[in-house]
Amino acid sequence: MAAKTLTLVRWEWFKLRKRWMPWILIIIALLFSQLAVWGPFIAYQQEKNRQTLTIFAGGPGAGRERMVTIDCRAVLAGDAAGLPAGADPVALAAHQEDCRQLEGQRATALEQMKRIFTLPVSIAQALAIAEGFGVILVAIMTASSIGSEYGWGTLRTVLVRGTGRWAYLASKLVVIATGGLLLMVAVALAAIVSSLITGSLAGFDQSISGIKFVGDMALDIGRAWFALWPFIALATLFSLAARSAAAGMAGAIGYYFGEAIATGILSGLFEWFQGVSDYFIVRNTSAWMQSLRLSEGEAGRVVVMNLGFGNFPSELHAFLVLAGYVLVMGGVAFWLFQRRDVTSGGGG
Amino acid sequence: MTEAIIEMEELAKQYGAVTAVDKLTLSVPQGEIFGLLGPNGSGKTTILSMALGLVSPSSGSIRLFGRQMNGKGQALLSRVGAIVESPAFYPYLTGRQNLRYFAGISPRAQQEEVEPLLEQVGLAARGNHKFSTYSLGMKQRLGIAYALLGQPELVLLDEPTNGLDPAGMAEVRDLIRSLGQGGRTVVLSSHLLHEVEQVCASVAILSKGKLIASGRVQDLLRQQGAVRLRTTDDAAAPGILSGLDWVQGVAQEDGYVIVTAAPERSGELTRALAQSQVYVREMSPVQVSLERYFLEVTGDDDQGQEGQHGS
Repeated sequence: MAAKTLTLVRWEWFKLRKRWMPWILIIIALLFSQLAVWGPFIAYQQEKNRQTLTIFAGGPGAGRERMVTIDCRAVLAGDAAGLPAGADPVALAAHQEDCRQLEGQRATALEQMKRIFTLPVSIAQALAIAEGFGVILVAIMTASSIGSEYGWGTLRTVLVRGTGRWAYLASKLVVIATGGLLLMVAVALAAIVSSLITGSLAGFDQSISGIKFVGDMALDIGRAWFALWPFIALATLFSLAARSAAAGMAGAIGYYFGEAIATGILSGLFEWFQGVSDYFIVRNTSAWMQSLRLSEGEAGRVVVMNLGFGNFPSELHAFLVLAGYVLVMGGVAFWLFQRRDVTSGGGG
Repeated sequence: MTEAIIEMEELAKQYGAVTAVDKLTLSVPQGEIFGLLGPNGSGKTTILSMALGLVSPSSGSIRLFGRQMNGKGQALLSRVGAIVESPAFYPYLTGRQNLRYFAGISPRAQQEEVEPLLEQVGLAARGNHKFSTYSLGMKQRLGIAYALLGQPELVLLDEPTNGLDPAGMAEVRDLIRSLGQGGRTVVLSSHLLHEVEQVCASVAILSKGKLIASGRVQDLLRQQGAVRLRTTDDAAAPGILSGLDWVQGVAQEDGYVIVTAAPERSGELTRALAQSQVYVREMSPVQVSLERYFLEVTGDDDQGQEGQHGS
């Protein structure tokens, strides 16, 4: 059985790489994950090069407050020319204090931006974005891979070769899951390359050596990969139940957004619903992605949806719930595929 | 006695209230080209699908190569090549890539078979074109090449000439005849009476999921023989002959009296007529076509006409 499945995996890969869709989806996911690095880098560069600060002018007794832009560099250098036209030069000292405070805050913001686009946090950020897109990507890929076989009628062409249904479905899922893993690896490697480039442009030295770094990266890649599994199972189940690629995509992607929206609304209306939502897929994938090792704690924590309000479930809870969904949905999908007739309704 | 390669016993398939196959008991002899003949909806595709494990029987059993076709029987399919319904391949792959893929996943097929098969079905020059660009005739030919991967002992072809022009049909029929040489068993499902008559040695006739008749084509036609007569009194002759209990039917057609009876009993016909002072002026056996036989046994003119149109 294992040898047969491996042969099928090899040929399933042969088919997959001849299609355009996976490559397009992978490129889109890679590009979006790069936003995790290049977005903060561009923001950092803009903030760093900014000469002016916008502050509330005036103060007690100075009349109505208004927003003014002042050149803090000039103000801190004691040059009243940095103040807006018509400003009272006497206020220079007060503005110097404002500027000092804001410069301090700005330095903190710059440091935070730098952390995000440099290693190792950039990898965690990229993986989090890739996981979000990856969910949609694997749903499309899974539904397309399984549902199209019904649409084209190729399922019966394959099954009459004596391939065996269990092995055939297993081979498809192995290929899709492996594709998801390769995507996460590619995202992590692309994030490293981009971080080295952006760090170099910003003038930072970065080190990526060390067993701990490699180990943490592998664990984070594995974590992001596992978060895709429930959606592979969900898309498989929908595609097989409806014998259709479109139904598989619509079901899995619809569920992804539907759960987020329903949880947001119902948790706001009913407090008890927050407890219920702790057993939903999207909420648990979000909880699962909270603990990426390379995010280096709170400062680099990945921003994820928390539409269920309250605290996320624990890491263990999230793992168990997600694994449960994968096993149940996967089991039902295999059972359905094994026992149902393969027909197209035509012929005599 | 020839060994049966497919044996169906009381095989039935029910889709809700619809009976697609109704307690079918049938054997397909080894090494022959066997025809499954019946109009659309007669259950041919369902029977083939059950033989190939695509559809589970509601009741009854089916044996391939003497072994029960169930979950474990899937391994038997490596000895079978089949096209069920229309030939379905991956539209984004070329014809050659499709065959390479199916050779790759088939336990008994080799990659080396791909090129000779493309040559055999006349697709070598178009092998690098995507399947989605193929005409229906090319798709059918690719389907036949696919069915021959792994040099199967049993080939099941479901309506292989559907959508082909007359030249393409003749070509495919020749190909099917050549497949039947060398001990290979070919099961040809078709609603085209003419096609089955030309290609098959044995046939099973189906109607509404039921087996109506089966056997060697020549034997069936002989059973259903007819004699054409001209007599001294063509008005009286039908009445005289229809009184004979072994005469299955009497009709008048184009100035002749057509008597459905075995041609071997011609002497008895002339004697019966002579006893009534009616004498035979002209007599000849009628070559009964499978189409006429089909109409006789199914009693369904519409179905026969459908078959005729298709051919």
